[in-house]
Amino acid sequence: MAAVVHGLENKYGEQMNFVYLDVDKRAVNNILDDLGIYASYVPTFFFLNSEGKIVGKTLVGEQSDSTLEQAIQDILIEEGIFTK
Amino acid sequence: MDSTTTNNSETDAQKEETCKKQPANAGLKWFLIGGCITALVALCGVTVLGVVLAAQWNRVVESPQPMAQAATATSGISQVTETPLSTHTLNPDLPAPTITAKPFPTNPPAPVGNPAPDFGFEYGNPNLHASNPGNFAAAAGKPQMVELFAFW
Repeated sequence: MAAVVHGLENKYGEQMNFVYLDVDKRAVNNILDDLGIYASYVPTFFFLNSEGKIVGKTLVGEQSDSTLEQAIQDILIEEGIFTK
Repeated sequence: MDSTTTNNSETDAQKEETCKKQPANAGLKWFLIGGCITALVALCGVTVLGVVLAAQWNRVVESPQPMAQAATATSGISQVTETPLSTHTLNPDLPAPTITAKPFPTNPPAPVGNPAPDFGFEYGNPNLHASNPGNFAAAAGKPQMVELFAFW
């Protein structure tokens, strides 16, 4: 999964940040508490806009390359970085 | 004449008494005879029963004799048990047997510095790395994709 993500990071790394959080870390749990996200399953993907708000769909479980890329493009379009 | 008649009449009376007493005496006699026969039969039965019981008792008491005595009591068995066991001696001309059994197989020791085994599928990802949560800021000025994962 991470390879897919890393491939997407190479492709969209300039338009958005890619963050990988280890749920076993206490600091990560604090971050998730602040965001109101409960990681019941890994991997879980969610998106934040430039203001730090959760946008788009939260994807739980293994995701295909195309699904993740489509979600990234939707966020970038919503943020006005990409145009349809 | 009268006396004769009287004598005759007395004799008849005696005869009648005798006749009356005879059946009673005969019954008593046969009763005694029957009793004696019954007693004799019972005595014989008891005697026979006693003899039979005595024979059985002797058989029971004599039966648990040792095996050797029991064997020697019968001539055929005593001949078998008295025969000494045959002993075998090693033939020095024969070659010694060779052991053909193989030792237990042992796995060769794993070489040091062996590369990771090939499981045939992706077991973990060497490119997987975690971001420093201390550097994470929700409002980073541009959109973010966050992946929650675990190394296990």
